[in-house]
Amino acid sequence: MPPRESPALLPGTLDLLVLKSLVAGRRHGYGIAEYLGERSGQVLHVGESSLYPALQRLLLDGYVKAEWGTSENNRRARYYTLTAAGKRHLAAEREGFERMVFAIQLVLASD
Amino acid sequence: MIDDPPRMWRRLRVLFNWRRHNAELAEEMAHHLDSKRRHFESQGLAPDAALAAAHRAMGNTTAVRESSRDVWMSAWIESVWQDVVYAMRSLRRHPLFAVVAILGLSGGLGFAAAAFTGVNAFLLKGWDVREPERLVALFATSLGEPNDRRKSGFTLDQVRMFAAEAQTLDAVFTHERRRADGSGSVTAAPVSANYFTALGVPLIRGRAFTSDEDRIGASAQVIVLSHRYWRDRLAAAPGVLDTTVRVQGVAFTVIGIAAEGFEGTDLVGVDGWIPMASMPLVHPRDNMSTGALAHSDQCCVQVAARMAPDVTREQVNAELTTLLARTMRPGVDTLVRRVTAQPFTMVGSAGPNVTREVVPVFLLIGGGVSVVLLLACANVANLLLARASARQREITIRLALGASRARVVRQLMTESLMLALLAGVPAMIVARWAPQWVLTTLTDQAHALQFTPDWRVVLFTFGLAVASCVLFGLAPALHATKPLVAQRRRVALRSIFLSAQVTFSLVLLVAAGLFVRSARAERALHLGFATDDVVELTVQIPANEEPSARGALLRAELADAVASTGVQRVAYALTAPFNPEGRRFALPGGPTAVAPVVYASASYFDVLSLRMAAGRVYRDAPENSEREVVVNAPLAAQFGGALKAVGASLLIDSVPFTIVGVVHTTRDVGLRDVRPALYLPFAWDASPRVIVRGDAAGAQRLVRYIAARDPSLTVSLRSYQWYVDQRFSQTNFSAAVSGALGLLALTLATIGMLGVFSYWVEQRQHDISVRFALGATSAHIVRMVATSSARAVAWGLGIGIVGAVGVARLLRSSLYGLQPVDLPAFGAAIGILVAAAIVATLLPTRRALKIDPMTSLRGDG
Repeated sequence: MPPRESPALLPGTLDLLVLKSLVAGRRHGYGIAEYLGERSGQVLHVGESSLYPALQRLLLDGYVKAEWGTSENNRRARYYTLTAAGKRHLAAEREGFERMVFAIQLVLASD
Repeated sequence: MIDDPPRMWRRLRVLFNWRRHNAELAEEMAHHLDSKRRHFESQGLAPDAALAAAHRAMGNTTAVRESSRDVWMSAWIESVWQDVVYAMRSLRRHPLFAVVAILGLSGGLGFAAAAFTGVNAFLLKGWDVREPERLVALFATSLGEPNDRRKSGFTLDQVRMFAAEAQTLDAVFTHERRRADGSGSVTAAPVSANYFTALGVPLIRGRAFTSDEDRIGASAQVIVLSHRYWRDRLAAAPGVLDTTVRVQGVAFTVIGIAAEGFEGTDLVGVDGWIPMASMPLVHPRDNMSTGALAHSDQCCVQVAARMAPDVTREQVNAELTTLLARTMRPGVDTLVRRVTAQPFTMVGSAGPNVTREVVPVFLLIGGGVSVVLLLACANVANLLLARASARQREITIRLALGASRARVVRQLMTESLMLALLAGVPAMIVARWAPQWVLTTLTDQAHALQFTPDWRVVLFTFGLAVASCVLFGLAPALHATKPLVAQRRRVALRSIFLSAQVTFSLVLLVAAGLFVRSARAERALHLGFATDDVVELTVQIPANEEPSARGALLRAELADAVASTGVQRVAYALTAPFNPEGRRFALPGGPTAVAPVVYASASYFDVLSLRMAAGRVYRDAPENSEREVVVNAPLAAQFGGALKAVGASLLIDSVPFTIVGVVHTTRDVGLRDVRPALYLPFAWDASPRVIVRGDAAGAQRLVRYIAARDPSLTVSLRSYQWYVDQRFSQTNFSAAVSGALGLLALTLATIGMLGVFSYWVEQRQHDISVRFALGATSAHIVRMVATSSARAVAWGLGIGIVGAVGVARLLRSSLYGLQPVDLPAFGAAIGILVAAAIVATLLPTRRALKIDPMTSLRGDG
């Protein structure tokens, strides 16, 4: 069982975040982890134990494509790109996530 | 793994390149680690510290890789595949063990599968026709019988009623076996007109007969030939339709040829099919011709039918029983009867009583092969135990590393499963060819049995393989993975297997001994007629000629041939020994019975050395205008003795005959039982068999002479001994099969004993060395080895004797001239096993004596 990083994410949000990280262009695994940590102000630390299985899942579902390339330091690295289906899924998941968060905030705001 | 197609394709593609995929994943993780290390270095850590920090940050890469892999293929499947690959590799590394185990197993499995193929062909498989599972054989059974023995057929009236009124049946047809016929003319089975359409057998030429041509009393003499006959005997001549062939001397016009491969619905293939109604023309004296076919309210004809779609057999039973009840005549038919429909298979069509005779034989064979299979399993189990103890270190390490016991057991069982499945392949080959080979050696007639393996045979063989895998693999696997094992425990399991092997082998050897002795007793039977130096010529009149017209000519021809070639002792007969025809006879004023009849010339008695008890032989008059008959002793007993019988009157087919002589009982009418028989002069109305005694060379000259003078006749030579051998072939078969099984059992048991005894000596090496060092003599060590071996063998023999007595009682009906507890057979079996056990201890004992205490105590041994 992969160790859970804190804070615990709602299920499915990891996939959402990873897909978002690929909107601007292709990235390799380390790059995705870096991006997420940076953009979230170092709050979200995505460990390898959850990142790579998530990437494999996304590959299986056909939301991302993978190909080998050369990284910045001239090493072979595997780069992931968003597919058309992935873009659609990202939009759908984003909408669903925002609705969920809105609903939670409603509950928290009420008495 | 049920996905939508695109996902499934992606999954399959990755699975296809599994190894490369995993390597890429590892490389990806390595890159991630490297990037992390750079990150730490850039933050100021020394290279070593950075690397260490990166490792710590990464965590358990193996776990990550596994959960990544888990996305594509569930871990469970992967572990099963791992087991399979590991099992194959380990088998390949120990080829000798694998080969021995597979050979032993395939022997056991092969026998079992072959037996099942036979059962399948006889009982389970339908005929090679359209939708055979919709065909049923119909029987009338009397209610109130404790077992359904009294099954019978129906009257023609009842058949017509079923055909007209049954809603649950699409077609009703009758069929009959072809009668035994030795003259070589066309053999034909009488069937009703809708036989071919009901079965769904197409005709490749011409047509089948219509119901108009199948009317009692006015049947047309038409015949449909089988493809084989047309191809082999008529050279597939194109203009075969409208030609004539003769069945039992009666002319029939060929109107059709059946499809290739259809041999009929009986045990033995036929040459053709004739209308049911024409049977009285061909076999006028047969019981059916004078009974059920002559009187439409007399029983019995054999009936089969094709069920309507979506109808069950129970529905057929119910409807036909109701219909049958309508035909009950008050005051005449007192027994209430019901109709049973059974699957129309080999046994179904052979008639109800054949089931009774055939099933016990199958059970017997089934029991024998099961025992052999158990033996083979016990052997493989011992082999596996030996292997497991050799791998004890490996297994312990795996358990210590955290593998669950179930996992390790599963891996060991996978090995056993591989062995079993690999053994299944040669077993299938044996199953395909052994029954066919057995049948061809037993009889040289074409047969309609299908031995090609169908799904049932394949399922049975591999199912049995899996079951036997559990049987021989589970105990050793569980045993090997037990955490701590006391020495004594280990020995006990092997001893049990060994004793079991001895028990089974003893039972099989005793059975073999009984069969062999029974066969010899039968052979030693006094036949009552000469068989050595007796040669028989069959003279066949061509199939399209009228035998009775030819008869007189033939008589003159043969007389001339005999005179010219100088052959002295010659007789003529109609049928072969053990194969007579039947006629109805009755004492004046007494009930009618059926007795076998031998039609032979007067010289028959002298040529075959049949001794007369009283009176004389009849005169050789073809028409037998004097109506003379010779009877045998059992029949004469009905008159009060041989002397009283001479001169008495006897009714044969309601015609009075005079008994002129009584002959001593001989077995030319039947081998085991002695029954009343009649001897009548040979009427030259069919192809004769010429019996020549004491002059084989003369018989050869006779053959050449006849062939030269009259090329239209087919003459073939056969020794009388051949008939005797044929008749004995069934008991020979039992003896041979049980002998083979017994031999296989003995081999397996000896190998098993050798293995276990060697193992014991190896285990006790330390013990023996200490004894040697303390001054024990060789005799002492030998006694030690012998006692422990003897104990296990003795247990096996003890239980085996009990089992063998039980089996012998079961076999009682198949044995001839023996008591079930036949001392020579039992004694021989026990003796052989004890001898084998002694032989099996020789090598281990030698090894035990050679143990050098110094080397073994030092721990090198």
